[in-house]
Amino acid sequence: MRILVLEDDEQLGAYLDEGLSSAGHQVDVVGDGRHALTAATSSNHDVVVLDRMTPGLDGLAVLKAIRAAGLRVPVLMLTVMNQVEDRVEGLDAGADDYLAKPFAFSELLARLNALARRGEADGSGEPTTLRAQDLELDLVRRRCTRAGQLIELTSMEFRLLETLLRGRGRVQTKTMLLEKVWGLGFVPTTSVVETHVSRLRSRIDKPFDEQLLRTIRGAGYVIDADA
Amino acid sequence: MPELVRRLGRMAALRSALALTAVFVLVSLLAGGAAAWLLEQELEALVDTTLTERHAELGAQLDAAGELERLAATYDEWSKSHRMELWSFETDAGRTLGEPTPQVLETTGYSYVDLEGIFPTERDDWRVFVAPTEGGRLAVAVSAENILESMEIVRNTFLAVGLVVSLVAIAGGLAVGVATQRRHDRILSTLQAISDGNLSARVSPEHDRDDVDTLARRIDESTARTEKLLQQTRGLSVNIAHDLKTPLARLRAQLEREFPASPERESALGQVDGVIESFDGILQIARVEAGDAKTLFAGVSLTDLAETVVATFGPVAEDSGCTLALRPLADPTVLGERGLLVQLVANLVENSLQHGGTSTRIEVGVTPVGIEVLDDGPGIPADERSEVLAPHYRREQSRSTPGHGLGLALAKAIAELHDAELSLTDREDGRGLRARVVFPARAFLTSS
Repeated sequence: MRILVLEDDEQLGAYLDEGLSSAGHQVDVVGDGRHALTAATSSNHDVVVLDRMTPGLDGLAVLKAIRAAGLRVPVLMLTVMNQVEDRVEGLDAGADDYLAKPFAFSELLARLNALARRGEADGSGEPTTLRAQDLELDLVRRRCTRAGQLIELTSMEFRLLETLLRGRGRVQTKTMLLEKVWGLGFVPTTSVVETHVSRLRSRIDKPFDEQLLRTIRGAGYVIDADA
Repeated sequence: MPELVRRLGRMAALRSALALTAVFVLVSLLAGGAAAWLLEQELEALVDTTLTERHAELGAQLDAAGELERLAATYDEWSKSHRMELWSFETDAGRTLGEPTPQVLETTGYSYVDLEGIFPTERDDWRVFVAPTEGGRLAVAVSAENILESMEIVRNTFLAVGLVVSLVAIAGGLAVGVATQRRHDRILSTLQAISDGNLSARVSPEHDRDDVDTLARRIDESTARTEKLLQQTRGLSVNIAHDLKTPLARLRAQLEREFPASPERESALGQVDGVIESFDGILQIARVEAGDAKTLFAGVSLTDLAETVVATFGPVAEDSGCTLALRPLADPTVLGERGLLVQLVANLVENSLQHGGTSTRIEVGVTPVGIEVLDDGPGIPADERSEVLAPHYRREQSRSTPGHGLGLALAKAIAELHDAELSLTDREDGRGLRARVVFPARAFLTSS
């Protein structure tokens, strides 16, 4: 996909360019808010990454201008101040996601994938049943079955599985899961995600031959998109 | 009603205005009363002087004449024609002359006597002076009608003047008091807004008449200065964050991109992440303490919040051999920022998990006044309890356990943001730690 990045730190911008390019994306990096606005309104990007603090126009102003121009392109804000108020301000201005600096590259990649997918999914009807091979999650009756066998899940496990299935084929990082499943805006000291994932695994994977839920070391978790 | 009285009692300006008015009214009533009394004394003295003179005059004539009968007739006549004075004389031998008024002769000195029916005057009060004279006891009397009426007029006048003065004083006092109180209230509500985190609140006095206006102006000036300083400080911390975090981001990116995956790289990344985590923690405490999040306050159900924490950390506790249970004794809703409150309770639960040891039983209790986390671990020695709430304090025995020592400090900052009190005490049964978050009464939207 085509990604526009506004990052005034040249070195970091270069790394982002290199990293995202090697992940197979087409990247435009600009170091100034005005250039970012021009690029965003004149070319067709799948997703836009805006640093919050940049010379010229700052990221928030660029975001407001993009939205004022009627562009619905998904926007991820990069910020050094990862606080509730900043998030609210950014999300109010029309940002789709938020990532605090410094970040793991895998985290950025996972979030950008999720955002681009959200853009595509717009308009298509909400599915009532999510599937991965022989695993089925009925969102209406809140039932989980694998190979026709009913599996009991706690509400947290259900939400975890639902999140992983909705983002099937895309890595979900720890912080993404903490936000989406548990609504936590911070990373707990204890291993909350690991514990819940391991419990979910013992219910949906352990009794079966094929393992659906994979751990991506240093990145997160994924349920593969199958044929 | 008692609430109203209590509130009125706390309004200093109104109270002192009313107290001053009360003193003024009391003093003017006392002064009026004293003046009336003095005037009456003066009037009485005047009448008494006349009576004494008349007594002496008559006494001298009686003494000189000897012709009692003639004299009696003359005076009787005179007295009747004047209709206002009368006399009677009792000789030592017991003979009575003049008006046959034995009740007069029974008295001595000056006195008021009721002589009903002697003269057709409106009042029957007479002022009488009785004293011995040559050859007997002589009584002279004058109708007290005029003097008593004068006294009544004096009294009524003073009463009327006193009443009017009091009413005017009370109305004036109330008006001054209410006006001053209103100015005080304006300053008070502004200070309340400022302490609630709204540093752009100003008293903006309309005039510059007196020291209250000056006080208001000084408050506005110092608040403006504080606001500016805080903005500068915030700008500074944002700049520091930006200046430090961007290089950290660069370092992290370089580690990730330029070195092949290896245990060494993971260890280096872990150290960078540790620095970032500490840094975020410090920044978050600073931001929570700045109070900006107050603008995001909304109703938060404490039971719902406790359920979230128990559902999230329950499995973590079980995996380390502990238990985490919910004990909802009430379901209050408080005004707060949900995300931060979850973090508060989560930090308390994690503290119990990390320091409680294996097979600790942890309970998250919801009470009508707040939320508490209890465990049956070793607890914290009393002399360390206040210190564990300070940033970066780590207990000797916990140096080996994970965490950057900011969890409880952040919990305390979040509690303070909500004007709630975080306390760490021994449990009542003495076994384990009890961490309580007690919200102030005004934070509750509903309670059960």
